[in-house]
Amino acid sequence: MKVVQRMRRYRGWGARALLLVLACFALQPPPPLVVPGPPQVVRTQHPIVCTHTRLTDEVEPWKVLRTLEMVRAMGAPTLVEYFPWAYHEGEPNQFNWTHAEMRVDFARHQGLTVIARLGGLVPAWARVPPGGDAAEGAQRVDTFLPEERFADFADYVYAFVRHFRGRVGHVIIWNEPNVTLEWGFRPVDPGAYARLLKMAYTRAKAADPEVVVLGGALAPTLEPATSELALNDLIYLERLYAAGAGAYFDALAAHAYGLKFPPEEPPAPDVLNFRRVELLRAIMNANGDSAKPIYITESGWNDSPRWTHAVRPLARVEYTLRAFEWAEAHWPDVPAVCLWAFRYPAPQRSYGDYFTLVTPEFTAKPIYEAIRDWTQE
Amino acid sequence: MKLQFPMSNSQRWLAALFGLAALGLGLGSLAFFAQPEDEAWARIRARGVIVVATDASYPPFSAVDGNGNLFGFDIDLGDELGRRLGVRVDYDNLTYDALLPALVAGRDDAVISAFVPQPERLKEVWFTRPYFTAGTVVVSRAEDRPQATDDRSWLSWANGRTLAVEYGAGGDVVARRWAREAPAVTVLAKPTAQEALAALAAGEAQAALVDAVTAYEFLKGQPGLALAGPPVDPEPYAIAVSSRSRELFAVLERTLDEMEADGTLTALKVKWFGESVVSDPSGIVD
Repeated sequence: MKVVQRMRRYRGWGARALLLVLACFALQPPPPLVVPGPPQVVRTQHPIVCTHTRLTDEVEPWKVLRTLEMVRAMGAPTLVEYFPWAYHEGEPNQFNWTHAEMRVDFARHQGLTVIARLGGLVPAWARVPPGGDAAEGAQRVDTFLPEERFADFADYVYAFVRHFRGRVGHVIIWNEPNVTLEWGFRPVDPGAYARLLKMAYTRAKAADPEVVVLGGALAPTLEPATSELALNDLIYLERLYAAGAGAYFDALAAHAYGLKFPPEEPPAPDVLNFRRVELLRAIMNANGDSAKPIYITESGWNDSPRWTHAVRPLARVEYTLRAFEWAEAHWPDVPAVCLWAFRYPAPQRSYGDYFTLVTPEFTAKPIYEAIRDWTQE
Repeated sequence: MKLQFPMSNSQRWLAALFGLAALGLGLGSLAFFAQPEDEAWARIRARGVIVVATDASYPPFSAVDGNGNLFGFDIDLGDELGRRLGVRVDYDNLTYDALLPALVAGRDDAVISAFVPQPERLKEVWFTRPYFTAGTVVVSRAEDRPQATDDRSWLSWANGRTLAVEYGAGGDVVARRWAREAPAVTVLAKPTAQEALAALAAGEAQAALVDAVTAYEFLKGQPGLALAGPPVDPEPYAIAVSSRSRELFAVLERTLDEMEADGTLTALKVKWFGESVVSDPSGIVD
């Protein structure tokens, strides 16, 4: 009984302590209010300039806004942004668009057009066939999507396109399906991707007949059909057409990296360079798709001092500007060349940091200033 | 006499919760102290071989000579560690991207490859204390070095000076930032780091902001020039091991400490980078 009495005596003190804690929380300054300001317009002499932002993992709204302001100020009217399936449909049919809304609305407020990259990062529940053990799914690599779940991915595409109808007009279906890593660490399979593309395309059009569906997004690679890592993008695209995928994309998404070559270097099947895109175009033309545009959704040069495929910083700047000029002059069917990547939320501490235009601390690199000066001439 | 404490249902729940928490803590402690044996270290001792992953495309740290042999600072460091551990060192020459996966998969025991620690990988990979610090350094005339090298001192020292940089490189980023903050900083951009240093030597600039390794190489033949302080944008290099290799990690840390204490590490740095990597008449450079 004494114990109970003692506890009752201290109950009053407990309540006071609780009140004190609550008061401390109440005194805390509110989180900074992020106001996007008046609507902006992108001023540029070169609307082909585009960049791939990485705001998916950027938590703080002011950093999202600051990034998009800098994209606009650089003179890029278009950006590619990633909307991973797992982030927005953590449970079946339960969609959370909060962060996606912020990114899209802030971008539109800056006058920017958003190309949404959908797919990759499969939610754990979708990594096993329906009725499977979700715990087992959580153990699987996060790019693993069993064919029985293709319809669920198509439903995600439908939900995204419907939700952002009128705000996002372009969607990319999956990323680099010709790389094992991006295909659930399984042998890559153009036929399976063609089926996925067909389902996603059909559902996207059901949500918004005007949406532009971009297929492919293939990684440039020379890996042969026997490779465990990837499949040559030219072979993959041919097989994609052979599997009947041509009817299920409005435009091709292409990745065009220059590596150590200048942008004017002629293309060849056994060379990875910026103009490899022309070989993809030739395959499209041969399959009756000459009218379809190609969006270069990843591109650029790297200036890491220690990556063997990198160039010196000066060459990176010169090659990048010349690549834009080349595309403007020779590729009328390419509406955008998007540089990978605008900025990372945190440093990678690897050569990947040397692809960016702006540091995590928002310091503009000289390449950013060079592009900005060029677009504002 | 038996003591009795009458308890309500909620008190019983509380007691049960405390009990479970205590049990959890106990089991957690047991799990911590009962870590599985460091298989890598056991294998290294049993076979007398340590397998070191390196990306031999980055001289003077790690590279391949005309005969196909590996050479460089990292290779000398690995060899010396092996000698002190009493084991042979086998090198696994991989691409940079493959270094950590090879470690995590258990193919290799350690990575020695001018590798910058990645804190976000600590669950899988541990990094020793840095054995080398690269990054962007400021080079100036020996008699013109700043008295201190905190941010404010750098700015006030740079104000009124012309800074030579490699266009677009890390030094250019720093110099442009200083120029925005200090009105009389002039940035002189050159196509390469060597040309930026040559501009300093020729008197076109009062300082050069370039990568440390290029600076060390250049300073070998320039007695009138010196590092103006520690790197303004430091990039530490460390040895990586799997986070399962607790004993190997401890052994490498201890051996690096010994090499530092007896001057071996310094001697290796001087061999590959010259005296400027360790010289510091003013005591500024650590």
